[in-house]
Amino acid sequence: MIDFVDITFFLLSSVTIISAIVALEAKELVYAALSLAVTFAAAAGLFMLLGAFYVAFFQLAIRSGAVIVLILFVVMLIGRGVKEVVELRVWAVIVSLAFFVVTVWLVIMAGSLWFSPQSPSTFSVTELGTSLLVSYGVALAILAIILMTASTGALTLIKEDKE
Amino acid sequence: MVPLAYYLILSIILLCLGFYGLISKTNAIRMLFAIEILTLAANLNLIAFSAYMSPPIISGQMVVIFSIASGVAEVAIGLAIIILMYRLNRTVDVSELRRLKG
Repeated sequence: MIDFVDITFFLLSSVTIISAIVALEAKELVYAALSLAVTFAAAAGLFMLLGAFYVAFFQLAIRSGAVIVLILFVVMLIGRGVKEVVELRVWAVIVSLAFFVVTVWLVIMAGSLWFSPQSPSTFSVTELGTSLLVSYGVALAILAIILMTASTGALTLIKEDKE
Repeated sequence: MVPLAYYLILSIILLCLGFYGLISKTNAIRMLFAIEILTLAANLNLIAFSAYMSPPIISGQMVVIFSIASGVAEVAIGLAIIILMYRLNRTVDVSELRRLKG
């Protein structure tokens, strides 16, 4: 018996996996960046399926919007004629497949992971905001410092020296 | 709802794709894509565990919000380094940057 949520899960997860593969293997970097945006959007759909609506919109706005625009800008700036060398492909496939087999075997062995609750649990934005400012206030301040340092550092890195 | 293990297996698949990209590619921009996919796998894992916990806990969503916000800083610095690399060496291929190798 398959209901609507299951079908949506399988659709979204296949879109995520296929667009991630395209993002890694597409010849043109522009197409790869756009495919990465699709990956992030599909993952935001999965977040929504899990009841995390605020995180889903956060992901859509920042990852699938701002970050992809930044990446596209740099791809256009550097040029599309960058040659790509692929080496160690066989070893990469072997390592990834070995990791996949071991971890999937662990998940299958762990019987307590196969339960399924009746309905997803959602938190309201009020609860999230309260938790953000009360329990995670220090982390929020540190995050502000990190973002300021990162933007200053990025500007300083790419500044041209006038000699 | 689907069992929690499905989300874990999806997250493992994304993690393996990220590993594959990080090992096999030498283009710096492509490696940044692989790192983004790895981060996505970790975020999905956290959200899934926080939603399937009974009673559900809010910490998973908070950690993912912080992870997304600090991922932006990571991308900004990474792209600045890539632009600098291109300006100095006229390439973004990390396998050609062996000036410090003896």
